[in-house]
Amino acid sequence: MAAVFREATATPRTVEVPLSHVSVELGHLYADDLHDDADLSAHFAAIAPWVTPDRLGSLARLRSQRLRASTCFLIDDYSSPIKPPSIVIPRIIAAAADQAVPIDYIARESGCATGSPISPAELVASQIVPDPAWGTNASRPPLSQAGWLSNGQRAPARSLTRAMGAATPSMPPRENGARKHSVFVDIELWSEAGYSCAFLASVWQLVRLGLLRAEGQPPVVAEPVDLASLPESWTDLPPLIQVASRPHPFCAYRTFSVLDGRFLPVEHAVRTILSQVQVEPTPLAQTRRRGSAEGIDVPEQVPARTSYLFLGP
Amino acid sequence: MATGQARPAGERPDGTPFLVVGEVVTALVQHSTPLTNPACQEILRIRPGSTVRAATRPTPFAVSPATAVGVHCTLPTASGARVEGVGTVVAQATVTGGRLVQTSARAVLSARAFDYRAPWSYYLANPGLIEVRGRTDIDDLVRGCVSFVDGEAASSLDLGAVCTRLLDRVQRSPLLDRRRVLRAPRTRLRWVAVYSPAARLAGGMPSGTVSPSAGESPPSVELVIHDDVTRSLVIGPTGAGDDRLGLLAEDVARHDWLLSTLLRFVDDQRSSAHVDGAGGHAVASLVDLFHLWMPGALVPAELATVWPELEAGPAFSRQWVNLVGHVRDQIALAGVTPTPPARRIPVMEPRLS
Repeated sequence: MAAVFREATATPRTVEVPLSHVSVELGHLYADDLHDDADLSAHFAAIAPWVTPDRLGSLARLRSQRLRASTCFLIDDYSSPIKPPSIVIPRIIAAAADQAVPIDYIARESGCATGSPISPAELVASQIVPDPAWGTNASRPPLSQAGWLSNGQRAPARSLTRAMGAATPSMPPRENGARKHSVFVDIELWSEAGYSCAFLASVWQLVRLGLLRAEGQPPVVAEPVDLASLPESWTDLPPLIQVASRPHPFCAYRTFSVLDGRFLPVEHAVRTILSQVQVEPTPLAQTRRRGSAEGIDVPEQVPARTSYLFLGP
Repeated sequence: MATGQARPAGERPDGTPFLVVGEVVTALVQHSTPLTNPACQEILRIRPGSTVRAATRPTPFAVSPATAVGVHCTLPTASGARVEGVGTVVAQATVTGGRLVQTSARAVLSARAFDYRAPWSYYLANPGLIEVRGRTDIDDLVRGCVSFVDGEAASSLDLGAVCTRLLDRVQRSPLLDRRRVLRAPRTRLRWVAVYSPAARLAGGMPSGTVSPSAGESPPSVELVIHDDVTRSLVIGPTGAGDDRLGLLAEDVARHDWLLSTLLRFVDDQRSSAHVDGAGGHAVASLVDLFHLWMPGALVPAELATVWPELEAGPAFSRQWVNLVGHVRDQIALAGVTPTPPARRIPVMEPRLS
């Protein structure tokens, strides 16, 4: 008989999180969309027909399984100041409930950007592995423009082109792996003003997919709150709160975001960022294994786990 | 990468893995005393929020999280034939015995006909996989990967640079006092493992998933010492996973470094010109390395035949035992005779013993 010996510290534990089939985001609003006269009911009324159980079941690739879907809403308290949680949150919950799309979880965007000892945004930033352009042989650190991420090769700097002589044809940027023609994007991840909307939105997707871990633990966990005594300051609110009484788990195999069409460029940026984040292999494998145990094929690639519906005005 | 889990069949990447290439850089931790295991874990936390694996047996060691580096470039070939690869290299750092630091980079080369690159997320979901396009002659690639010729193609895959950057990063940790206590070389070992046809047929990433089939003969091993600091190791054919082959390469590199360091020390002692004022520290640091000699202890069972082969040929352990005995004799002599030998190999300072 072979002896078994192991040391616990040699195989660190990665906590598993409860998983729904799909996490549904019931739209998104900028801070200035939340003014006092805003018609929040119209916002949820436009979304309601697209998040019915049969639609979500098909999106989650269910066959005969009983659907587990949770709904969430991300409040932008990061880009500019908004009214306190005690005013904003009850308004949003009531408007959604009126349209029969009750919200299960509410997150504040600043919860993606801050956190101790490490914020989800810092965690994601440390896991970016840039898509290499042709000629990248690892001899130098990845060419990066601090705070920016692209999906290809940037055009050479103008001064360089000029130095090479006026006759030098201008070199356009190029998308890596482009099929004949490029769709090149260059995304600002952060600046002195803080993290960009696109970067925080990609962090938000990874939180919903349950793929982030700090020291083996999920960095954001839903906390139940008493809606009757919400705090006056957003920083006093947990980053993610559970507002329904017995919802399905917050994290899910797949995410579905129903958004206003104006968010399309941001979400293109989100998918570009997600395709360059090296998530920890353990949660990536855990979600696939758990999916296959209940007969659901969970895509291997992270961007493939996200679905969108963009609504026109 | 720490992809210990087997992939369900049918869900592997397309293509045929045929080679694993890697490089290991080994050096002395730039610190005056051996590091405790918590200190090792701290200097190896190369990514915030990540966990550093650590253990105390069979020897104290700690392993950093694996990091991936994207590449899309040519691969080195002996003939100069153009072979292109795209994917990721995985790299990690290890500290053994609180004294010895290694950084290691590797990738599985897999042949796949592709016109367009897969989305980058495909490569990130398969860390340590480089897909190779073009007609590939395996021997040509093997010879290209382990050659250390001058002026080698500057544009081809550079695993050594990945290791060096990671090592510099670890050695720059504020926890280290950066005092050089012992003249020890920084060695580089390039390695290549050739997959057996059976493993190739199995397809996919053999990250611990392909076990050697019954009756498969043990892999052959070729270790070449090119000069003071460069070595190459060719293993194969084998069906072992790339993570296991990486452990073997690190184990060989570690012991080669220990032996090289001891040899250099004895050489320095012989030529009095090299005896410096820090002699006592140097001896103490050297003695600290003695207990790290454990060839094969960290090598997975399926590659257990490799060390006996190395011992049968170059007789690493016999040389090590002889040299350790020699140094101990010198220390003992220095302790009883306060004459010239004592100046050449000073007695260890009691607080360091």
